[in-house]
Amino acid sequence: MTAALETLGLGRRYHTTWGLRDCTLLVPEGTVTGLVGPNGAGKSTLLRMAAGLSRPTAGTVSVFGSPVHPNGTDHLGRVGYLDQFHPLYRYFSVAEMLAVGRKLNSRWDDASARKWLEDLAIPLDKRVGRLSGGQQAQVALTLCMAKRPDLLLLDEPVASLDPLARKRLLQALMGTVADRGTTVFLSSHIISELEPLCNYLIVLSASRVQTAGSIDDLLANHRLLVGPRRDQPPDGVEVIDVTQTSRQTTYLVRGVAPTLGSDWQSLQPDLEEIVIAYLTKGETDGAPPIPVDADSDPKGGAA
Amino acid sequence: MIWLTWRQHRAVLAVSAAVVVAFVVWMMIVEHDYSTAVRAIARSCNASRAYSPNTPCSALYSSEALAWGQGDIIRWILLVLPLMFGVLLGAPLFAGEFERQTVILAFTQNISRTRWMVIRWLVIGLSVFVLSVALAGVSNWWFLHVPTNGSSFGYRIQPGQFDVTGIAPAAYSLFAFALGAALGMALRRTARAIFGTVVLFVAVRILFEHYFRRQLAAPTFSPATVFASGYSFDVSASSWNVGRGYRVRPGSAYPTSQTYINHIVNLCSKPFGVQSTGCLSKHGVQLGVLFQPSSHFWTLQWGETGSYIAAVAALFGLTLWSVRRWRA
Repeated sequence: MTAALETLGLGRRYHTTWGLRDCTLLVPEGTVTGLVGPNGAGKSTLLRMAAGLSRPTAGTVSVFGSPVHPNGTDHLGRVGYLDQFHPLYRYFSVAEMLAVGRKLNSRWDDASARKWLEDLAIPLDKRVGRLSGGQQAQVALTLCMAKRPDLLLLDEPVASLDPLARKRLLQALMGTVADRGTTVFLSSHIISELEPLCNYLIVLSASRVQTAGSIDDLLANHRLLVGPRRDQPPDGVEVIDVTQTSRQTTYLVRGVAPTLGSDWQSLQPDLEEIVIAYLTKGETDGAPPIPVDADSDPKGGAA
Repeated sequence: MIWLTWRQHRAVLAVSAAVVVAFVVWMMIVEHDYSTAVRAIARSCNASRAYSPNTPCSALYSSEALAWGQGDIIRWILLVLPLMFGVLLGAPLFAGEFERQTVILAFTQNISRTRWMVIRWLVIGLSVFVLSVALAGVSNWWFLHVPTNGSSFGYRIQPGQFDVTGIAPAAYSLFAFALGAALGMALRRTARAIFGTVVLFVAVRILFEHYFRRQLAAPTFSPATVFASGYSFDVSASSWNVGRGYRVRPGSAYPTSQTYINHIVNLCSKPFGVQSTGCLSKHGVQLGVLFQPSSHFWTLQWGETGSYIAAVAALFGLTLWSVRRWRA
């Protein structure tokens, strides 16, 4: 499988803090890969470096095998980037925005762009600034799609939209992507939104990649072990997250689950539980170890 | 990209062009009124020849020009107009893109940053060039028709009138534009870039006028006329007096080096920095005045224009470097 996007030890430092650190990942060609993480985890930083807008402090980022430089031009024709604030020229009409795309891109698909906007009932002669937020996002996405990119980078594409506009935008996006075989890399902090769209998932937290893999693998490789209270973590398995109450202990583990006893249950976690476990792990890594009894310890650092 | 630049700036270009056109029309009206008045004076003067045969009619025209207050207003506007290009077209050229984040849109299309910057700069810079050269053409025509003699701006070689005559005003306009664009790119805020453009433009113009312009051509020396009770300088009113000077009397056997002159000037100095002309003369040194005669006008104009154009080129380079260096 060739990589549409590959990063190696990628990092970006803002003055003294790292916006992204030690990020090594691979987005296979033809996949729809979701990037989840809390606000400030480094999602936008990663996407901006992939789009050539930002220069890495450490490591490299390549698109279809060639490194991306902010002043390079190789990636520009193949990559479509949708910023989370979807900036547009507010005083231009929608038709003029399409003209911008047509004049600045070599592989421009004007007919599809017009057809798409027509389907969405966005009038071409209206000024961009007079459109609703959802319509502006649609216009921005149209500009990305019509340049027929091989890799589409979408930073929080639906964050500012109401649920209906959200659904419409994602449907429109996925319909077109499926037709063209475009690789999509999109970020979101809403897991439920990504699950139906994506076949790959990357969890980013505290400026580091916590886990990455296909959604099927993630689901198959994790188990939720629920049983009576137990202070000793199970052996031979990687514990991602522990939830303790006075009578019950829940482990989210990676790998083949060990047998802990007859009073233990092994359950299939859903994607959200897995992701949250990794996000929690990311937040607490480097912090003091999780106290055994988080409920009774007033100095608990895990809360 | 040319279309995009034009589309983004057509409104502000139209405003700039309208300001220039309105101003030119006003200049033409003033010129027309002046010519009409002068013709009327000529007629009445010729008619009244019999009563005052000793007064030449041209003296009456000059007094009419003196009273022409609008001439000074026009000069002041010409002095300030280059800043309009810096503020309206230069400062927002890049700063606006960063403020509205549309630079992110531009930098993710299939066009290199260099091309984006160069075309953007050149399309608007060329518009500034056309407008400012047209304005310079009209104002030069205007000064040929409405006499400058009575103006408080002085003769065309002198600071003031020099700054609104010839080709240099067009270079000031381009400089203001390039300065605005470079500051806009460096600060990425339009309001700050406008403020910086105004301050730096005024500072550069004043410094150049007071310290550098006089060095663009070697000044002419005119020896003082020495009387028993002192001395006087004799310089034409149409020259630009740039200060006191000394030289070794031509044809004398004294060394002509600057070291020798400085030595004698020190030797002959009396309190309050005044030299005894007798003492200077005894050692073969003449006191005089340095000035730029009106014949140096075009040398100074081209020197000044060249200097400002060099600054424009440097600012262009800095802006390009800054655009390529930017990262989100």
